[in-house]
Amino acid sequence: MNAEEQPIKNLTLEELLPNVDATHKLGYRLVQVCCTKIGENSFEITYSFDKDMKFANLRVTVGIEAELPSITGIYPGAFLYENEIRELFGVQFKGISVDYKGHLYKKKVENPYNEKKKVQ
Amino acid sequence: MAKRIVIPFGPQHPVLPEPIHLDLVLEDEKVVDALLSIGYVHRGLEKLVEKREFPEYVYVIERTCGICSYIHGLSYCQAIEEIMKIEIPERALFLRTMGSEYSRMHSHLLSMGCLADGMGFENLFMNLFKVRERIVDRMEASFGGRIIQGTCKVGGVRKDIDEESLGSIVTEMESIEKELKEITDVLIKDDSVKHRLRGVGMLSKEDAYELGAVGPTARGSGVKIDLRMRGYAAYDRIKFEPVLGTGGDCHSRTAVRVRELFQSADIIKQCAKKIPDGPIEVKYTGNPKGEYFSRVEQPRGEAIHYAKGNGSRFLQRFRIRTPTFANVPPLIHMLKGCDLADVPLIIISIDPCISCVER
Repeated sequence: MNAEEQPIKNLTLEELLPNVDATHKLGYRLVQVCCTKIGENSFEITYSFDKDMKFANLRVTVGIEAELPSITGIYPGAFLYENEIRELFGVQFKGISVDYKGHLYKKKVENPYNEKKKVQ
Repeated sequence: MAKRIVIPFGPQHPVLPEPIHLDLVLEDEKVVDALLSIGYVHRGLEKLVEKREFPEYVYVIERTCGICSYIHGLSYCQAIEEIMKIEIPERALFLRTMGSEYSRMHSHLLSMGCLADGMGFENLFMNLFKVRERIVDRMEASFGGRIIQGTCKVGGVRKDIDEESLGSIVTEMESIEKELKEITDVLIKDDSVKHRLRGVGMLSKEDAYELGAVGPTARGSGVKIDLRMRGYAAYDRIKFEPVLGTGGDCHSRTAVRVRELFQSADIIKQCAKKIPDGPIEVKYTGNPKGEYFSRVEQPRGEAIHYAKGNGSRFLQRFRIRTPTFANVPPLIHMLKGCDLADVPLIIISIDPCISCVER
């Protein structure tokens, strides 16, 4: 095995943007944003970063009613991740720079990765 | 100011093997903005993990992409093995490395063939595909399949390569390298190719890093990101250096792929010579409980396979961040300011894989 250190820092919603900004200023690139459904309408959003093969993660845990601040003002390439999470899970983001308004994927079910949510 | 018009590009287009749509906003012949639409081949493969037991999900994951399927399988197995703390035999690690590099070679040859076809250089396209046939034939002989191998499994690999075949791999690779040298010289040195690719689809080093470019798209702009340097599989026993370009244009990205072909050939030869004897798999018991981000270098760049297990036979979550997904924002950036006639070549230059993007 060649495991690498994968620290995950848990944050509140208010702490998210300042921490993403600080990570950006340290020279990290955004690697991915991942959403995991951990309970009935409860989600883990993990932001992963890398700098010179050093891997770091920031994580917030939110409910379906929460609205996450978009990080596209800091990492412009994050718009695809945020649009995808909103469409597949129904987690809302505020202020995405390129907003597909629910039309990134052509799908029959509104939030296919959050089954319990009623189809409109 | 010139009148603005919007031209639809795709989802069906001669240069696109897979569906992707772009609304190109033009002022005369210049692209001033591009809006991308995807979603024509979204299959929900990540969701399927909830209905397939973790050892059999490797068959699903290998079908995420028809080109880099081997490395998808490898990365998934690696994620599960890290969570379950399974020690893989050395020989299996070398076999995985060889499979990855064969995969890279056939993917790069396909990408360059498509680029040649996109330029109207049919002869070059045919010659590149002729070499690619030799690679996929060898993959079939060594791993059991031309494109989808089904070789990687949690705990090791399914198929071994005997000593005689390892010797012939080295000899064959030397002959492939000779053939490649002649063909790829055209891609790098030919005046008409240079004229068509130089200065087209510019991406600066800063923009590439800031927008999250990966793979030859990033390395063609001088960004040193190559996840193989992390030393997964047997890469920590192999001598190699990331290939970097400086031009940041379509020609530079192509040149990086050309040099990586020879690098992959060298890695395969090193593996064939250094591979230790021993078993190719280990038995394991239990189910994965925990999480891990498996990061690997696919032909198109860094891919991340995130697995989260809850101790049952079914993973709670599996996510793939594919390299083309990361290369979409840089692609849109490259398109702004280019000529309409250059759009197809710029798209091909990032070697897009749409079925990977949508999963």
